[in-house]
Amino acid sequence: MDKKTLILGCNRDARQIAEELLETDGEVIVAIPGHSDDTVLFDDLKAVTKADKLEVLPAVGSVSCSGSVGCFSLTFTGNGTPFTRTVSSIVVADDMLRKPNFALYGLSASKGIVSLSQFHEMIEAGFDPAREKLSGKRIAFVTGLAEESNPVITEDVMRCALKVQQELELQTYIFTGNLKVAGNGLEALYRQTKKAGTIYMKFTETIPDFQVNDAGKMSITYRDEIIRETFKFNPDLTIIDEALEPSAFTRDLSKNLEIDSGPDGFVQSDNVHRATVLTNRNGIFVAGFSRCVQTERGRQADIGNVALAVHGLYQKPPDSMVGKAEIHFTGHCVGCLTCFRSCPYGAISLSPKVAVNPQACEGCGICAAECPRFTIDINVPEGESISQRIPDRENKSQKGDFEPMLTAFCCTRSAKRACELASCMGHKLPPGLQIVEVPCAGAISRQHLFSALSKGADGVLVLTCHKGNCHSERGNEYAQQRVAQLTDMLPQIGFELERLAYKTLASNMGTEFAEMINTFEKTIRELGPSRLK
Amino acid sequence: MTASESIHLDELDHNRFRSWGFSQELCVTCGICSSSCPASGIDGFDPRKLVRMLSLGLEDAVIESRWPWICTMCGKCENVCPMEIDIADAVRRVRSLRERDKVPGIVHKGLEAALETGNNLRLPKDDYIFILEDVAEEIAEEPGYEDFSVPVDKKGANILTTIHNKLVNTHTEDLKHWWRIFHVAKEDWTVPSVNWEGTNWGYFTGDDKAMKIMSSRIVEQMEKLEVKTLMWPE
Repeated sequence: MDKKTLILGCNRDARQIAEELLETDGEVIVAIPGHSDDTVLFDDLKAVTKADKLEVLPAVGSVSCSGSVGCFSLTFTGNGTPFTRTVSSIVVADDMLRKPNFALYGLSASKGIVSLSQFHEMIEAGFDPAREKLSGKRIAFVTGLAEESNPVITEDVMRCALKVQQELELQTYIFTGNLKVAGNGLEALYRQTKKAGTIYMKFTETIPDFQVNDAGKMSITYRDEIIRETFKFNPDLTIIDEALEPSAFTRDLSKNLEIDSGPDGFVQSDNVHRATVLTNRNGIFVAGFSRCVQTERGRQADIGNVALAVHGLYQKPPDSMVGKAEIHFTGHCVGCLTCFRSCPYGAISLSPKVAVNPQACEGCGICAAECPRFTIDINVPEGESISQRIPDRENKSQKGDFEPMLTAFCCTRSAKRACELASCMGHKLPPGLQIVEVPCAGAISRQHLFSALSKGADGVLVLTCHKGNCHSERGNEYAQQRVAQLTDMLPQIGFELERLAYKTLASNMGTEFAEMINTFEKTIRELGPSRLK
Repeated sequence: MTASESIHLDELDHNRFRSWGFSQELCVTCGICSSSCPASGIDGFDPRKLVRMLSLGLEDAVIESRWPWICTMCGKCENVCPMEIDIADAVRRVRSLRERDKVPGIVHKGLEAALETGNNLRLPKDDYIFILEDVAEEIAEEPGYEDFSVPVDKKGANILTTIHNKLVNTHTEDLKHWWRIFHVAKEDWTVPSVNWEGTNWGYFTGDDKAMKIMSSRIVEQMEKLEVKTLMWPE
């Protein structure tokens, strides 16, 4: 594929990533989000780079995207007519928003109550206490109360306090909840501020009461939890901290690029498989403040990781078709777009016709299980499709004791490995157990489950990754739905509800795997053989 | 501090105790000191609370509180403090802030007596010598100790030992333990006839000046008697 990358962002991170990629002889397009028309940051880079290697697009409005890794087609709307660019990979590296937390304390901005960012501006403009007519010399910072703060804000607050203590020689107080010092050098900074004279008020049980009188004077009443007495305080200036959020541009990208976002709207889901800078879509990477709230060190790591990931992508040999989804158009595909909508990797493109991009496809099989026309297969050697792997469990002349025949669908990433671990650890598993390995639990269709039962299994177990841990993000949820749907039908076809079960686990849970299987076996033992026997 | 009133932070001088140099401003309020302290909870106090009161400059409250006097300065708090704050030292320093007539119990009164007379009990020299010789006579009656005598002001002896005032008051029998050992070990020892007091209550009351005076008197005896080794059982 062409070594062509689009970077969406405008800050130092975006610039550094651009530099890294240009060094490995790639082509880079930088699209600067509409909220910033500042291309200055890239001027020096442009000056030393060949024009065909680096393009900077200012004030980009919204971005729409089709295609997948190796051939993303992006349409930009800005000030003029929309235009399109085709790239092999995309990097999202925008800035964060800082939202002042005034409302959390029932306050609003005023002369004596400012946000952290406003205070920065005051300092930069040459904050002079005398000129500001602050009668006293006491400054209060408020952070991490009512809502948890983070190391980025904590570092900011402490550096401000230190500067004020040392250079402006004012008395600073920090009213804080949990002090988030999990960042490089923050504990040392904390100590520095204390040595300089900053006084900390830590709250775990209560939150101070903030009152502003008509003259705009702040009065804080609080309970010191160590001394266990009530204090009253009138700071001359109160600085309220901020919440950090992804930019609106980043949020929009989540929809337009079809990348999963995490709980706070940053475009990386809280999923172990998205380690470092990955998203759910191959070829789309996220870094810096678009990825999560992080300090300088995290951002630097992201920049390096993006460079490595993109470089690795371009070095990869072309994907073979093994394990990839293939859509057959032998008159069966009706263009319902179910596969397109259900693919968690955005690997299905629609034009010129519905097709799978093998480089974006992870072979999870969700599309194949969802397709109402059974027109999608996963490319596997002959005789190895999931259907063909489901074993025949006909009774082989059982005299005396009933030995439950259990068929367990196990996904490769978790349950299969847990099963191997269980054996390694020496756990005893029922002799009647047979495993059907699947690439992802999302590949298990209702037909597969039904087939397992009709082939004579006394009990069918579906074992998947824990919620939030599925590589396909939702494969385990699809599986759970299908089990639920089939479970609803069981009474109508004369099966007990307990014969079909769904459980989650992780690859390192060998003991739990054995427990689940053995407990299930006991349940089936009590039920007796399937009615088909 | 009463529970119903608020304390006005603006009125406190946070730098009041900074110069003490016990690093109390570094306290992270972890509470390990409080959990190790045998006096935690008495009067609603604990070491962590005291350290914070010093950091904030709550001068009147720390002087008025009796807790710094209940503290035994055992040092467990200092031992475990991760920020290496000299908590027990700070307690003692707080004690020094009280007016001397408000020092609890007999501690300052005994110290005053010692500064004036050389011992906490105001025991006159003659009575002191009499008691020493009386005890010596009793020892000399024991088999094996026939030639025992108490060496007072012996110049050039190897060891000079101080005496706790109770040993020449209510616990004279306990003198014998020391003296028998000296005798059997054939030690060359002596006690001074003046400024023999071993208990230095300036240590407890936070009175550095008085401590210095008491200590220097002992040093004076050693120089006068040309004794190189001091045995100070306190």
